Amino acid sequence: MRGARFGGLDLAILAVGLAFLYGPMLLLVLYSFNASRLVTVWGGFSTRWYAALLANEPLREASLVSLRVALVSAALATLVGTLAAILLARPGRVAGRRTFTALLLAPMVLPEVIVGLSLLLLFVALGFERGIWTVTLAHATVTTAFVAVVVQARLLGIERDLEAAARDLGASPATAFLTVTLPLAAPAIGAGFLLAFTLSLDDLVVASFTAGPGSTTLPMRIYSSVRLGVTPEINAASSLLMGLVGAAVLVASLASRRRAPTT
Amino acid sequence: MPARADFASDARVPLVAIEGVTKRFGSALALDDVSLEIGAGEFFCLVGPSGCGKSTLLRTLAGFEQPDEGRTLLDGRDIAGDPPERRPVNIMFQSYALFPHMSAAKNVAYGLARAGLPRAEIAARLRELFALVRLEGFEDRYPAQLSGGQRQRVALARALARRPRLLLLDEPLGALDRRLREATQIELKGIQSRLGTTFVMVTHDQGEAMALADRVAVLDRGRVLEVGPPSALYRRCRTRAVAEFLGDVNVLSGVVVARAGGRAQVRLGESGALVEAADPDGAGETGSNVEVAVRPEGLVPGDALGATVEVATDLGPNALVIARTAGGATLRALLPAPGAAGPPPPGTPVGFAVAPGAAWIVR
Ligand SMILES: Nc1ncnc2c1ncn2[C@@H]1O[C@H](COP(=O)(O)OP(=O)(O)O)[C@@H](O)[C@H]1O
Ligand SMILES: [Mg+2]
Repeated sequence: MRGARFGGLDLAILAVGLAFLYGPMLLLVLYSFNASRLVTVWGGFSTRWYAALLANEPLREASLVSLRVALVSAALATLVGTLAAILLARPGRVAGRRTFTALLLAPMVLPEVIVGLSLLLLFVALGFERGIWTVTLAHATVTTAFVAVVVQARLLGIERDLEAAARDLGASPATAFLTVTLPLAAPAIGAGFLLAFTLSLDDLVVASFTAGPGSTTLPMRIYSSVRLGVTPEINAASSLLMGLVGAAVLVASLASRRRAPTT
Repeated sequence: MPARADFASDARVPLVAIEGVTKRFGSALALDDVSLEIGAGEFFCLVGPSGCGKSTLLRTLAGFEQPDEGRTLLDGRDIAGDPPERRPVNIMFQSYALFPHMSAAKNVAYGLARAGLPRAEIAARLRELFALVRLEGFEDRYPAQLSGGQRQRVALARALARRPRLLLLDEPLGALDRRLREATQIELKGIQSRLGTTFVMVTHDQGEAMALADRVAVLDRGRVLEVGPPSALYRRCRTRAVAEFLGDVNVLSGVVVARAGGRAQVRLGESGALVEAADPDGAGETGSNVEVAVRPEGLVPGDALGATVEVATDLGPNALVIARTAGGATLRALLPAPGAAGPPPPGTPVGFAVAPGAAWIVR
């Protein structure tokens, strides 16, 4: 039933839930603008920690590593995940469709520690030198499943007769796909890319297993600094990371809601 | 009374020949040894209950399904190996299948662009097509911004754009409300005769087939039951199933007492009254038990069949009387308008006779 109004109690529960979810993050953002060096004492508003962040070589480097890993791994995951989704969403019979779907989606529910460890073992066995490329490959592996799910859902929602209509009107299978299916799936592919991007950006576990010297990602850097004590600089870095992830999620959700124009 | 004709005109070259086509989906038989010939310029209708294989037959002609057995010929050439994009055939899907991310003009131009027509020519053809379906001014609207009837027109224009030899229409009017459907039927017929394109249309509405088709094929469970001009099939079909599919019908049993030419004298089992029934196939030998079909409009007031009124409905121009005979058979009769007095109340005794030429023998 739609149209039910929120009662007072519902609102209170909602407020507590949201506070629980977002309170800590708000606090973190607030303290990133704290003029005081002491993390627990409010010393007035200041952007000095953002300036300090810019001057902090290791944090800056880690940010660049994270961005590069996220961009490249998301691109890879989008390519592979989209191709997988296209195959799995084909109309008619595809041999082993269920098995492949299950195999593709398994990494979504496997514990990250296990995924990280197994990738580490694989890279060692293959004699890969650990570095930015191994992290990138590892992230692409993990996030492909997420892209495939998002894109497959969209492809299954596209009317089956559309591609047939294109064929009927003289399009080859490839042209029909490129002019009809792909444009209709594009918002989901974009959303899948952004999802993979954010998953890579905030991953700590898999990156820790597969990174090598010189490929420390931002979450890894933040985590290791925090063990020596929280500094406002880290708050600033975390706030920026949050902002980036939040923006990506927002764009992704807007993109996946986009439809053909109405009215 | 038109004689039974299997083809509208023998002089026409069959554009399409379907020869013994069988199509299975797993163990289900969607088409069962279907053979049909469709002449150039014909308006051909496929009718039959839901799931009888109408869409499958269209999809086979369009190239989306390959027959398991049999051949499909276009202009005498086997087109089995041709993919949909290389057949001079277009289909209008039941769902219309308009591209939601393209404007109406882009939808209609899609097939023209694939054919590599120059821009100026595409623009000229678009003007023609939008005029043909009376949608001028809606070129830039997206499908989501159009009404059901307008979408139907865009789909029709798109399917006609490449000037196909054969246009396939899968329940093109099924999604429209009754009023709009009747108006659109007339337009569709007008467009077809103006362009001279061969139309093969699927419908589950026998009235629509009657209104539009030069010839009708009645399908049931993947088989073609009968083919012929709708007015001939309506009044002289071979089987009871087709008679019942094409409209209300009274089926009375009796015994043939005499034959002459294509006619038989039948003594009705219940009343013992004599009825003259057409029997073009010679189905009823003298002395054999037969079934006689009479449409409700073929029953007139008389004394061959006695019954009592169960329900009588005033339809305006005439009245539908549903009556029960002493033997328990139900009769449906379409009688002249009852006038201001209204239709007879339930329980009124009525008598019917069979109008001359209105009865025929069915198997
Ligand atoms: N792609 C398919 N896979 C399996 N069965 C199908 C498929 N298409 C049609 N059928 C079956 O074939 C029969 C005929 O279907 P269809 O041609 O769509 O009937 P109609 O259009 O007359 O309603 C139905 O029993 C239907 O379930
Ligand atoms: Mg159908």
